[in-house]
Amino acid sequence: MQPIELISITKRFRTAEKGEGEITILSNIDLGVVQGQSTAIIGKSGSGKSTLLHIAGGLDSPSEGKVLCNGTDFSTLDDRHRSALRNLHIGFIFQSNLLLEDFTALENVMAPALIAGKKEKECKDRAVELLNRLGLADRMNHIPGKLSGGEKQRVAICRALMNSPEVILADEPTGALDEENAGEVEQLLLDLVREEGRSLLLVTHNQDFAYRCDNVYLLKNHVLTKEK
Amino acid sequence: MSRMNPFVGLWSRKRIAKRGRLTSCMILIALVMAPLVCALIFSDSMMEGITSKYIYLSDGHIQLNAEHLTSVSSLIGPENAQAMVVSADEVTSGYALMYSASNTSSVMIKGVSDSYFNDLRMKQITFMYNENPSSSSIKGIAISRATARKLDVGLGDRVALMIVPDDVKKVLRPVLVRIDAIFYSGYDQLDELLSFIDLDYARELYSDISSTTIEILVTPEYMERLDEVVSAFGSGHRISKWNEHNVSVYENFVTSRQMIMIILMLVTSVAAFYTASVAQQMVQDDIQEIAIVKLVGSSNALVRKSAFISVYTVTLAGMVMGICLGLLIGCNLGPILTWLSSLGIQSLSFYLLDFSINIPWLSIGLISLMLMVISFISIHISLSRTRHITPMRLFTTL
Repeated sequence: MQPIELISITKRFRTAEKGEGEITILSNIDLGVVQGQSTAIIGKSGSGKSTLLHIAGGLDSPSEGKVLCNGTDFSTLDDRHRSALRNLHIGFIFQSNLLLEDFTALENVMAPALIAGKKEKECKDRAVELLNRLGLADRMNHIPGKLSGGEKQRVAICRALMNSPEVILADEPTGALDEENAGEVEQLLLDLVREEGRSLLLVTHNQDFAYRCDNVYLLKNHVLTKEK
Repeated sequence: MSRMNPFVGLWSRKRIAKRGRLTSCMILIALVMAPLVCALIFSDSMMEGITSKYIYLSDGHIQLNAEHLTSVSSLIGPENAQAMVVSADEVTSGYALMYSASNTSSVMIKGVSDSYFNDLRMKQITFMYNENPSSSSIKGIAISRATARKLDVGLGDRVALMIVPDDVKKVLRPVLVRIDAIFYSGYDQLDELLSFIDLDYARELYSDISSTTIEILVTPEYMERLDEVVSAFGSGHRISKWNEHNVSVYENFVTSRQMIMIILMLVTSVAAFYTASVAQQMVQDDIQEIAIVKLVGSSNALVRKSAFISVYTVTLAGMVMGICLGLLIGCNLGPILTWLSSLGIQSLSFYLLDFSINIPWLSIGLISLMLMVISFISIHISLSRTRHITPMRLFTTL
């Protein structure tokens, strides 16, 4: 069973400029994220890469088609079950790290596991282990405002891995970092995904980063074509 | 009962620690609850105190109209008498105009025997006696401090009494009496009317038997069950309860108590609805945080629960603080009122300034329950908008 499977996904948006008209962003897209493999989607700005990722993560709904997460169709689930599925099976990493500003690094990392209802001690042990692995042992009790961009992104990676999800969805995870930090985070992400046996669905402009993944797709003219 | 999600606790703690608005909410609730509790203690204790003054000094719990003191035991049986009655005293009373050299006052003269001022009554009244009474044949009288002030007289002074007879055809008879005692019950409104003289002398002054009654004080167990005592006397007796004797006073108390409760409940409702607006503002301030939490897998129900616990904890903490503060002030009302009275605030003369504190737990409980229920409902309603905050907000607003 594939951790994420997109079947005939079409996404249209209503546009104010065109009255009642709609524009198509994604058209009839099929994509399967293979267990233990990394998949990158590349394409120009505005091509719909992020929209595809949001749909894959159950954050947005497709106009047509369905998204299966571990074989379960997102559209058949209520808020509680959809949230639980996202919580346990998907980890998210975004360009802007989206950390909770008044939570410490440790608490940010613990959050998904606490939401899942796991015991605090168990959550803390796992979060400390992840933060240690990513070289943040001495930054655990700092709030995001006291961390550098690279550190924040590493905290976001830890958070994404906290519940050991089958798949990590990453949208330009290094887009806001300088070259040195970006390279470091890219390597870290790919290594962690491989070490932990997770799948990665990556959306990026960065061709070098994309081509280090097992599969590469190009999103162009609303359709997806395999490049690697 | 299921274990609370650990994230709820963490989120709530963070919200409370971060939000000055929540602290302000807690302080505001405390500042609303404290005077409400204080007002309840004040009104309840004062009404209880005034009621006691009327009962112990003016009318007794029950008045039995009888020509002479009848043995209560013979009327209701020895067992009932022992269980129900503390004391039964013959009282002859009537009205008189009291004259001093400088002023006049209308008073009620109560003729009582020495046994009248038992321990229960003495708890309600303070006497100052003339330590050097003259041995003249002029009879003594005890007047209130309020009357003494009004007539500008003191211990040992003489005043004239113009007895007002029941029969209008009778001739008015002025008599001279000497002030042997000045009393103070703490409630000027009642004190102004009362004067005490010896029972036998009162009988002389008010020979009309219709003014003679037996004032009965009942045991604490029967204070709220006066109807049972009245029915124990059976028919054939003219019996009245203190509230029937003081209908306007009693009805004023009942109305005042109801009005105070209604006003306090309205104030409580406003405070409770304020918590809802705080919850709403908190959601508005935390849109990004809520969207992030949902992004990492929190359901809307969990977000609502976390936000609810933050606001409700603060509301309850404010309520408890307010109740404690109100109790603290309320239990020290005596010295505060005495101090205010010493400043010469006229309106305080309408209140009883010396009363024992009676904490109305039931009313405080009702007000608290109301605050809890209204804030519970209104916070829940105001938090319903969290369902419109989806993780997609993070990408549409960034």
